Amino acid sequence: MKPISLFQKNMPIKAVTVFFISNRFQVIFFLLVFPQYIAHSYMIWFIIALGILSQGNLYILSKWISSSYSTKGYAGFIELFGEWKVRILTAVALLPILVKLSVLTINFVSTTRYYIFPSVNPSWLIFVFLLMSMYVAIRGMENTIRFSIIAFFTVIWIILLFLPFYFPPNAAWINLFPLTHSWSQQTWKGILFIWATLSGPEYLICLIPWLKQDQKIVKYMTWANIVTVLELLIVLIASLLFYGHHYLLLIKYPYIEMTRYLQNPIFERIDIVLIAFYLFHLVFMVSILLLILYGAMRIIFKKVSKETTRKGFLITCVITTALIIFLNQFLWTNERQYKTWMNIEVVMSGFTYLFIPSFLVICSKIKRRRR
Amino acid sequence: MRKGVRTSILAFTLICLLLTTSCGVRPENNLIEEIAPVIFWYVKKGENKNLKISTAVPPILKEKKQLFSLQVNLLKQGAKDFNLIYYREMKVGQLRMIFIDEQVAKKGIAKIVDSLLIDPDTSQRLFIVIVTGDFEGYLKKQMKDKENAEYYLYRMLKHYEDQNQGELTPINLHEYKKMLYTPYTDPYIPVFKADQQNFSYEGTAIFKKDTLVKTLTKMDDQVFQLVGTDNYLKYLAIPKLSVVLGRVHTAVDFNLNSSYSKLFIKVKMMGRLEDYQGENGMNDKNIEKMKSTIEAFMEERTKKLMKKMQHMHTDPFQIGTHTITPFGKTLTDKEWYKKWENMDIDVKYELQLGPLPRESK
Amino acid sequence: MFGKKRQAVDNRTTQTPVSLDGVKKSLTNMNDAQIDEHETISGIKVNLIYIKSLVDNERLNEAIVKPLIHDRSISVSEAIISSIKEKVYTLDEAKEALLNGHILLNEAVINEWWAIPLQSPLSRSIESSETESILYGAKDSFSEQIDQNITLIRRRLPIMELKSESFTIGSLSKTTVVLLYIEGLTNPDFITIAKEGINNIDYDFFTDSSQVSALMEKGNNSVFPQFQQTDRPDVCARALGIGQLIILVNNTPFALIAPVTLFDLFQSPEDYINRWVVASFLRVIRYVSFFLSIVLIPLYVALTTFHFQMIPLQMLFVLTESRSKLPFTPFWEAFIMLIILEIIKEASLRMPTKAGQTLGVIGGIVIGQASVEAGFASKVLIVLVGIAAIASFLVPNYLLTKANTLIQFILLFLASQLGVIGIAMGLIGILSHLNSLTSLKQPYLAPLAPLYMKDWKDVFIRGPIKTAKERPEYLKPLKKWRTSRRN
Repeated sequence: MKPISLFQKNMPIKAVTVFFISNRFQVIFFLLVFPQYIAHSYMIWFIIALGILSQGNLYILSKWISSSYSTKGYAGFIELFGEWKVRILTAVALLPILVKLSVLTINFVSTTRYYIFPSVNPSWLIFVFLLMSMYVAIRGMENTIRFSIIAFFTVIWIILLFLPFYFPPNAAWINLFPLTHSWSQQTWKGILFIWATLSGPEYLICLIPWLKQDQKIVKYMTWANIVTVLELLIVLIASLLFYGHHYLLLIKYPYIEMTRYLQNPIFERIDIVLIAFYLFHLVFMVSILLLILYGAMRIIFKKVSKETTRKGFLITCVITTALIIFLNQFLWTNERQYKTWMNIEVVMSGFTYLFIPSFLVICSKIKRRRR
Repeated sequence: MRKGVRTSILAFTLICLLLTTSCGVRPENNLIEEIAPVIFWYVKKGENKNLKISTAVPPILKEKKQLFSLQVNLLKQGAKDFNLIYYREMKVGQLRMIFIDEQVAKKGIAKIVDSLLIDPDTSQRLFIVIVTGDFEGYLKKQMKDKENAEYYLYRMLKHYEDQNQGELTPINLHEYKKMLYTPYTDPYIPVFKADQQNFSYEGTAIFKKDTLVKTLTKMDDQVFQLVGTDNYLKYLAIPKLSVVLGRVHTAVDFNLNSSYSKLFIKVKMMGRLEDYQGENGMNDKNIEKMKSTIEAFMEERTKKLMKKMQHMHTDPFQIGTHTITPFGKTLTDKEWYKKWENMDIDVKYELQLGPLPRESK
Repeated sequence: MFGKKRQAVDNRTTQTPVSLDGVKKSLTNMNDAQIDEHETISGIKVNLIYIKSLVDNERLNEAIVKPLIHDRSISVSEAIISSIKEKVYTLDEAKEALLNGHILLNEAVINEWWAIPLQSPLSRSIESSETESILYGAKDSFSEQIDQNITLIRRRLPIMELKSESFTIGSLSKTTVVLLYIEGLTNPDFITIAKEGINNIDYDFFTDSSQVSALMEKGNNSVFPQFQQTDRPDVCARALGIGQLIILVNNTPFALIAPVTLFDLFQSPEDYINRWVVASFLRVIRYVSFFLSIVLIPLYVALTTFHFQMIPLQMLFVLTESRSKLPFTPFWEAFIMLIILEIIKEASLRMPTKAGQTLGVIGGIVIGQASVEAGFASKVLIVLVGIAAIASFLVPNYLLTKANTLIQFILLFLASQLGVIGIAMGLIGILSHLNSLTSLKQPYLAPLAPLYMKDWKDVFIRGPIKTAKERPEYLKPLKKWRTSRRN
């Protein structure tokens, strides 16, 4: 059997792909989970404000991306930290990756079960979805990164379906008011959640070696950020207009519930089709994360210089699948645990997005000064 | 190497098999020929404290229909019991209408609606209709005569829902829930009257929260359609003045003063004269006169209706929403209703009639 | 006539010098081999060796034998002035020349050998294309003769930059393969990869260009063709013009275009004849119908098996009624109908035209009212099968049309297991597969993934020609602009 070249670089990937990756990494979380504490009109202001703040963070990230360390990939990190530290840092990084992977998969599976197959065993669905992601991922990092474009185009049009909610009889503008609110603990939660939603571009750090070095990367990340903010705003405002703030608080999956209300002469229940389309999105995310995970495993077990193997990748996938199934069966059984996991994910991804780019930039600055 | 891959694949499959075979792997069987998608429920008060629910099966057009009724404690229990007495499994995925008996509605329908909503299979576009009279009898009779009577009922509701057709305002599950949970608003649902022969539109049921408090009929209902919901009526019949106006559009302006003690309603009404059976001939002069009579009449009726609503502590006109501003504090639900009950109301109509094609003496 | 670079396929180790005995020995037991001895007036003995079935006998007499016999000059090479002649030194060269329809001319005394090409012009006339027929536009198509095919392209591109490099492949068939490209326009990387690919071919026999492509492509197990096959010279010329290269194979009328993308297979030459709005509309219809032909039947199975909620109420009545009498589950119903449809499709291809009409009638009965009445299939499915079958023919590339049947079956199975989610999974699989496919190492989904926004003017729609001033970026042509002003 020929060894497979999962991480081979045949041709550098165009910088525009950054837009798709970064945007899709950002949006998915919001689409799957639309928490109640965000269902307020005044959150519109926070989304815009945090979007701008996120832009600043992206600027820091771009500093790292254009630095000489990042383009060298693994070698660059070794140069910066030394091998031992890199291995420890990678081991630490496994945690947020695994949490993200599990939260996304389990949420998607529970949505699928709720709307499409109420009687299917969730473990089985998790297995099937991960198998699908494996199929995509085994084609190598380069192809998987390019798959982001397909994932983007198969899903982005769905946002157009929300336009009818901006017009009567579905919409009542009065539902959007008042746009102010007193500050409470919910507000902080909302802010944290929005920030966590805007996180995701930090995963680009792992993907930089495959991308063509281009000054435009910042530009594309900016666009991704803008599109994300717009998407969040469109969905949030539409849901507020449609449900009104008070009723919205009672609905668990407003994003999908709204599409169900739409009428289509060919299909009655559009939500089922839409969930199927969102599978593209999920599979893309999971497959990229699986590849990153495998890369991390190789770093931890000192196998970087050796060739990538099917076996190694499969073992990584098996462990991940088993882990997610385990989490779902034993640690994800009631509402309280669900909320805990959500909070962990929100805090973790918010944290990684906020600190990793600056951490790397500062480290590289210090290193340069020492020279 | 090759062996390693095989073992890992095998191990993976085994682990997953172990995990998955414990419970059912296959999705639910929804083979369309083996199920009976129900398109309506009829909920009625049964004996004791039970509910009596009925539906018609099978859904296939050419088979003979039956009306199934059951006495149940819980709504979903009904769904289960039906399956036990019928050879096709009943599914609610295509449920389009729920008919609720007036007596049940007077006790409150929130629980019924909630239990429907919990099921993700139920469409948000499910129509809610209040019925009075012998609906079962009507259905039984219809099933003998017509092939799929209940489907035509659905088409009728759908017709009036689409693009605001006037006459009546069907309410679906989503709209009802939204009205129920939004502050300052109370739901309303159309009421139909059934007997052996007919199934006719009766008016609009006004709710206080989830309990029916009043059914608006005839003139009151027309006023409600014009001012409260649709702002459109295909025909506005005023028998007292022997006149029928057609294609009546209204533009309603609710004006609250700053302390919410006074409400001024200005209704601009546009339409055309459809029918006049009065003694005066139809010419421009008489029409001017008639206009002011109609205006005065409408003002009076509207005012009366508003007073009724105030009296019943309910606000289906959603006047409270006019207190909301983009920035600034809002009233609580209780505060609003207190103010609403004691509000002075002034109504002013302004009628515009289209030109007459020809005059008569 | 081809480029001088004639690349030998097998390494000839023996470099035996050509001799009459040697040639005679290799011609034993070949009844169509001929060795004539002539003597010129000036007394020079000349041997003419040729294979009768390969040479033009009339021209042989007129152009060679006659002038030879009446020749008064001292050397033979002067006698035959007009012909192109090459000197032959080794036995292998001699054999190759003979088999290519050359006349070997041997001046016996001084033992000098020449090869004079005199192939018999055995070819059919230029006919209109049957596989890619269009109403308007050029009607000519390639034939089996490679020279004629090159002529057809050269007439459309009368420029010196159009280069043609010849290769011989196949240890038995000795097939001539010609690589055509425009120098200074086509990306040199493609040329290198293509040459490498052709040189690496090691096989004995070639009947068609598709075998050449099969040996050159990477994803052998894919159902998607990675080289576009066409028998239209205008398509080839256009492809050359935007920076693709052409591989012509002798004895087949089908040229190969590479590198291609999936979207190239959806383009018809008529796209560039119709008004752009119309052409765009038709192109969109083509994509939609390809999608429909893949998804329609699986969707039927998914809806009737799992998602009855999605079916509009009125439709549900019809479906329930027609399905209630069937013995099969939707999956088997669809599977059987599709298999039958494939059988009929395949049979109608193989049938002689006259019998084909009967087949059409019988096919119409089998997949039609009769099968509904017999309780094999529901009315709705019959309609859907019909739509899907017709929709599949809208794709101009017939190889893709055949491929989509297979995809349909895969999706059908997935739909019967997981409904709409299954179909989505199938589509993900197909798209990720397409995403990893390459044609001459170039991405198969090119203007989409990787994204070249500028090229979208001529992918899903066919934009107005005035706006299409640049050659497709994904082909990385050396000359970007199609207009003369900027270059």
